[in-house]
Amino acid sequence: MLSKVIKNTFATGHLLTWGQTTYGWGRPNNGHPWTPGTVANFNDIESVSTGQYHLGFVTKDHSVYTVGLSDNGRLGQGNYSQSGTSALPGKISFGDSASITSLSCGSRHTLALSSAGNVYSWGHPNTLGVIGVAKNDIPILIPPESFQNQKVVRIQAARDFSVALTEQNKLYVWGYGLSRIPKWEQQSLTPVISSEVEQLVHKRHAKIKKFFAIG
Amino acid sequence: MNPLIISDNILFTFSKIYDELFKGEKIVDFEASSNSLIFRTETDKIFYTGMFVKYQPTPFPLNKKAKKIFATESSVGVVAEDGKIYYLNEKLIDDSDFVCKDKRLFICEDDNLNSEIIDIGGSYHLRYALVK
Repeated sequence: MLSKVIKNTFATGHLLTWGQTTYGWGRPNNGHPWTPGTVANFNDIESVSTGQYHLGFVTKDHSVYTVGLSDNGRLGQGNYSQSGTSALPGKISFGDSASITSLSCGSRHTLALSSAGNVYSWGHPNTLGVIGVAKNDIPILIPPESFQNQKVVRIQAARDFSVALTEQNKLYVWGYGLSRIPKWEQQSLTPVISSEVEQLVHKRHAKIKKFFAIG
Repeated sequence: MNPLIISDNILFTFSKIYDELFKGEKIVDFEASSNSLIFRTETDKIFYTGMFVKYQPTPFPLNKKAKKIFATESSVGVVAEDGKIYYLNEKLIDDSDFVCKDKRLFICEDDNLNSEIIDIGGSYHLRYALVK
């Protein structure tokens, strides 16, 4: 059953990346794509998320960096272009000096969660959770009222939609392609409670501990 | 034979997964990716399933305790207590240009004895490992 032992040196304190795309490794000219390689200059990374063609990470001082394909403004660096790429991680500015604790990269958009339980989004306009924003390539705060002022504790950016769980055990969804969410037949560009999940939770008196969505 | 018709209602409705091999046990952890799922039961049994790997939950072929389970695109894996990564259905190339690409299990062994993998995963086309 066991086919081979692969040797690699996993550098302490670092992020290693690999995969089948030329976007988003954050380690240009550093080895074969299928050989795990170190993203240089970062040894204080706290959490990581990968999307389809980009990845992002949060450092111990709550700084947020993204790298990869910038189409649709998914990198959040204010440098949207139709076919641009960022080969090295670039820092994202949060205007209100939010303390970001986690990140979730989707297909064409990205979400960030702050320690206060606020959600920020950037990328494809239909995935933002906010309608009518002027710039979609910088972080946009989704108004807390969209989540009935509940603290969000977990986020997930899926292919073209997003999911957020609040402290009160409510699962919100928004975006398009929502037919991929059980029995969701309408699209919503702003957060709404997933009725099917709500029914399941209510029926079983369950607490959502963890979820995953990708589409 | 009648054609198989799968409607959106079937595809995108919650359905219970085949649980003959772990009937009655609680799932205590899971990780998922674009095409794969791996989960751990309350008795520390690990199962995996997904497109291109297995079409029903199947025991992960490893007799070691897992520190961490993970999924990357169409692959699943375990970081065992010995610090080694046991990876199923993934492609990797090591420094000697050896290519590992099949549906069998292989080990990714870390040369750095002081390191510890604190997170590993990835969706779509990218994978990552975060090392302490």
